Amino acid sequence: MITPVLSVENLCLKLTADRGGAPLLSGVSFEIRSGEIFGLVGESGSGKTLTALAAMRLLPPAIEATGRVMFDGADLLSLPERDMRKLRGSRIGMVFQEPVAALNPTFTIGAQLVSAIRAHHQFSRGRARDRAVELLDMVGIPEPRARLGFYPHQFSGGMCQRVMIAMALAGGARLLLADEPTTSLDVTTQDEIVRLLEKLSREHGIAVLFISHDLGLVARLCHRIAVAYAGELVEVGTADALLQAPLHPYTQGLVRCVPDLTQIGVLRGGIPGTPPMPGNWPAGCRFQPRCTIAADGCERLQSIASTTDRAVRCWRAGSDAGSEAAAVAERVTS
Amino acid sequence: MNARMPMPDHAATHAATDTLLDVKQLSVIYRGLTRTPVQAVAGVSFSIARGSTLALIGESGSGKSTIARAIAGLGPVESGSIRLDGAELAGKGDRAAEAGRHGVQIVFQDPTSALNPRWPVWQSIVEPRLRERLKRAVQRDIAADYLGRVGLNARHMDRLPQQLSGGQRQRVTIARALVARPKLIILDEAVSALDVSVRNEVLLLLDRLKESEQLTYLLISHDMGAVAQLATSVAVLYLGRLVELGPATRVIGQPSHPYSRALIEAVPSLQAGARKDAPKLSGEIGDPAHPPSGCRFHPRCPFAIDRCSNEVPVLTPHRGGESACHRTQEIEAVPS
Repeated sequence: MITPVLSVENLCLKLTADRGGAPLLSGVSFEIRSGEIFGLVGESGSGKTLTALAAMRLLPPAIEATGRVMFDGADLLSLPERDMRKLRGSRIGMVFQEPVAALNPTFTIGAQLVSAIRAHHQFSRGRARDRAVELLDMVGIPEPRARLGFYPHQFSGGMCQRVMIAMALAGGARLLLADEPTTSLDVTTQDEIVRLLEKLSREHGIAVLFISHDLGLVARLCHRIAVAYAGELVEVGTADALLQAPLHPYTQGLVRCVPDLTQIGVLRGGIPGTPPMPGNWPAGCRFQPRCTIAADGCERLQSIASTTDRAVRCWRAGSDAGSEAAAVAERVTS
Repeated sequence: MNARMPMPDHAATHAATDTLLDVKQLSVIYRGLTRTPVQAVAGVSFSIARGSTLALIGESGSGKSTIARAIAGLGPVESGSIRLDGAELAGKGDRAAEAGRHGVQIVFQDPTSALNPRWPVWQSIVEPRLRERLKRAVQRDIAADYLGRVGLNARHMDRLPQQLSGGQRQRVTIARALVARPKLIILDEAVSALDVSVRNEVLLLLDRLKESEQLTYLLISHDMGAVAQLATSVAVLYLGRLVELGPATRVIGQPSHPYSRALIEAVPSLQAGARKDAPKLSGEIGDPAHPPSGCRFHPRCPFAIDRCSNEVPVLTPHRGGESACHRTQEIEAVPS
């Protein structure tokens, strides 16, 4: 088996004791292989973003992490800050939700790209500019040399996100952490960015962690998907398996929520109830209060073998009640 | 309706298409001190039948929210007419228009900034009736009543917005809109900021309220899932002009205009075939200060011919809807 590019093992996050010590993420494990686009789906507060921040070691000081995040044979959680700085933005790139806010409005695109390139390579200014042109061309910005002199406000949101991706790749990234990179963009632009990520991953073998709340989008792009709920992974599987036969009642609910434009005027319904606040999670199965097939036994701790290709954190999945619910979900979606 | 109120035949046909909101040739121009005037909306006409939901869709910059703000009296109107139940709303500073606007309420995308963080929920909900100077106990009764209608209960009365979840907060702003007894509610991206599982529950609520409170909706959304569930008809906007208009089953199910097709096909869905190899739209929405000549969509349109850059297409009836495209018939033959 090929060694994964990124391997997250039993990652746990909690607030430090002086902040109350509330748990924020418990026992998250998954791995991403070279050239793979791995989707992490969940609602706000489920811990998606914290997972990416933990991998980049960008967590606020009030949050402490345990477990391991293996990248290139090193545990990122215990790496000295000096070595971590070398990795951030070079071998590991990151793209965020608000591209316009992530760029400095007072510098040209070219100046910002050149400084990102020169932070990781011993390039002359001229050579760095050439590299910047190459990068802009790679992310599909027309007339790249002329665009170097543009300021961020002269670009649309989609173009700014392309620049951010170019910047994330400036140091020769092998892993790209993309946290809701298309959420603030129009569907048509979102589509273009998704195609770009697909192309970069395919042509340059870059592994991508794609974080999103939009299961439909993740399904279009990703090879494998993990579903997070209340600080835990509840289901892992290939995109096809997860969408065609979701096992966890929460995943089944999410699948039902994906838009179906062939059914006009049909109210699909969501998942009743509210996601629990971080740190205020129910005992045992954390989805139990909102679950339609909850029964005696759900108050026990549920486990998941999430590094395998198909896993679910629900003891009833596959049982009669579980398959009944799956059948209902299927009838609704088909 | 006929059972309650006998009518002559011609009146009955009129009642079948009972129009609540009628927008005619609406234009909005934003003028700055230094900038070129920007025509955000250019001669848009549509109507909404009582009890139905019209969805306005289009990319950001297409003018959706500008139209919403003009109808709600929150933004400028350059020319054109906006009639609610026959009463003109577009006259500037007109008292009659002010009164007419009480029939229009708007629910915004972000409930957190739409609610006063220092006010308990009940106080926010009765705000539209503050001028009546009701007794506090009466106000609280009203708030409790409306909380029930939006799926919350008296337990939530004295909470502050920060003590509620995003979905619950949006239910509070919906309750506040209902208290004003509106005829029309504008849902300006009202469910877009909510988590997916919560979003569909709020859509269920909105659908129920439409019946029980006899409402009509103008739904503004980039979320095609919400549009497919709620809309009875759909209007597609591009750079301030309507490019397609018709029943939701037509515009979403079988879009005709090249822009509508691209917009709808860009939506990720789980249906087989839709996932891979959907046609893509190149370029980005243009600058409304310098709109392209002729059809405003022509620089991005895969079907554009010379005529498209010279002549402005008008909405023409087509397959039960209307489409503004010179090549509607020819494009029809090309599979999407």
